[in-house]
Amino acid sequence: MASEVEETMKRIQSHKGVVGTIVVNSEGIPIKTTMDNTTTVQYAGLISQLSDKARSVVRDLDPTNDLTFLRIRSRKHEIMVAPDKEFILIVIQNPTE
Amino acid sequence: MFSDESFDAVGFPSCWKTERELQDEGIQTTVTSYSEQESQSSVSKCVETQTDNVQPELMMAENVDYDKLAAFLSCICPKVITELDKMSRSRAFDGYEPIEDDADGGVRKLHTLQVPNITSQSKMKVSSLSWSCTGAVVAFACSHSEHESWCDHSGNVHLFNINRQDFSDSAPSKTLETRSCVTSLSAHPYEPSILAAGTFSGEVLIWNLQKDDDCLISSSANVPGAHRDAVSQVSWVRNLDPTQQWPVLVSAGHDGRVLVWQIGTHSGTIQLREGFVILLEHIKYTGPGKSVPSPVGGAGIDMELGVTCFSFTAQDLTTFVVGVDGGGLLLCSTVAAKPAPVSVHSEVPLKDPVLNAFEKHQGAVTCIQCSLHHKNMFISCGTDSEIRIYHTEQVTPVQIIYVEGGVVGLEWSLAHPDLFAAWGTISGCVDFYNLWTGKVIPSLKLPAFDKPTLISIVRSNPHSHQLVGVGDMNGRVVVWQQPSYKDDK
Repeated sequence: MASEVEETMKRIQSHKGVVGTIVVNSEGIPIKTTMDNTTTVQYAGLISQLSDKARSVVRDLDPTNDLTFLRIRSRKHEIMVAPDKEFILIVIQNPTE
Repeated sequence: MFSDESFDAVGFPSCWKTERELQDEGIQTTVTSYSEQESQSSVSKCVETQTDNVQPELMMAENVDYDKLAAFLSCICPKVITELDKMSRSRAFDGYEPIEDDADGGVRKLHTLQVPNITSQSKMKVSSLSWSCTGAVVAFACSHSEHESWCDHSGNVHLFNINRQDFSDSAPSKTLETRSCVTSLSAHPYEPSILAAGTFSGEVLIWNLQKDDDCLISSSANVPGAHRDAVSQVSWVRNLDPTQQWPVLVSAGHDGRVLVWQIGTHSGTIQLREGFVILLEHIKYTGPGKSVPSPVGGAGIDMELGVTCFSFTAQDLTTFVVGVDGGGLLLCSTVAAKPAPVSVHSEVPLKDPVLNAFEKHQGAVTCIQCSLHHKNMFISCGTDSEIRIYHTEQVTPVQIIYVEGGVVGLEWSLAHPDLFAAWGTISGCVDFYNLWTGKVIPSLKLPAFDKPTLISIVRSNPHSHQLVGVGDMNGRVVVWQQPSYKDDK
């Protein structure tokens, strides 16, 4: 099972423009990462907080709805967040300009 | 009509030539003695050490259910890939240029603080201003602008908490009363409830603002050896003694004394730890080759020179620069002090801390500020309308900026290490200068009030560096917000 996880991570990481991939559990602790320690810790903490807030916004507006993706576009990167009940996948991509 | 006449010749001996006296004298020096000495340095050793690059420990999650993780990833992966492809093909942001600067606009006036019943009386100026270390409370003292000989007025210190919900411009959150006008205020560097002040009668007062009834916790009035003339400045300086928790309070007065007070952390009692006195003989040093005779006459008179301002260097807490009556600037040290001459009358032993003198201002020195970021640099201004930038190792100033209209005070900007504020011109504005170019920065200039009055004091907020408090000669304090300043280097 671990190899499957690795394979999927590698598939995402090798996609065009992807800078890094991080998988975080529901408590905000990183499980798997392709980036260095300091950046991973920062992203894990900050993104999980933001993703929880975004999800609560969507569900408050319509309880039958749920958050599927959260994308944050900044000058340098685009951060894509895919949340789940137990995990959060964070992909950092360089927009091809 | 014309006839020839001849007169007798008149002669007189010349008197300018006198006989020179000659005498023979002989001197003999003592025989100089020679001796030879040889020394040899011992064998040297070379040792190297290497630190490890410490990486923060990454605490990865334990007890991960890899099955669930694999399921999640395999489910989400195609969707993510689709999104990533969509992103790279997206034309949504074509031609999108984000705005480069966050233009925070110009200088904004936030608050105008004024205590109505006090300022309606004439001639009350803001003599001193201090922000608390948290940046929420501004304390300023209103005092009379003219004192003929002694101060009979009772002084006031007003405290405004600008972060509170019920903040009002005209009602201070607290008012402290003193027995004479307050000349200088200084808030404790990390205890927000402690405030120190120096008054016109020579008292050094400490208040604890958390106390409800009587905030005054100690006063130097009855301590032997305290100031007997007006206190010109009080400042908190970090304590070099590692056993003491609190910084020491240094006060300087017009009686020529710089006193170092120890304040008890819990009891708040004030104790005189060290005393220094600045003597008149030091003002004779004006530079190599030039010596000005003492105005009072006689070299041996040990008269004290009134201290108008002082500043401790940020890097070396034992060195400080002092400005004295008459425009002199003296470099002093707390550790290299000699005992003062016996003729200086005092109840406690005083020391003479002066090491060297800088080239003096032509008028009185009104403000000295040592740089917090640049080693050994300080700026000073005086009644001769000059701002001088000095280096502590050089007697002559590095640069002199002439300000039309006079300058009364200077303060280093907390927002940027190369900027300092200057105030006191007739136009009533506060200008910010760049240390290296010596030019005014127009975007940071704080304009004058509706009716231009002289500014008496400017202080930056230590917590929010964009806020600046400005006090004027009419008893008003205005809090300005400045835009951030970026160099174009």
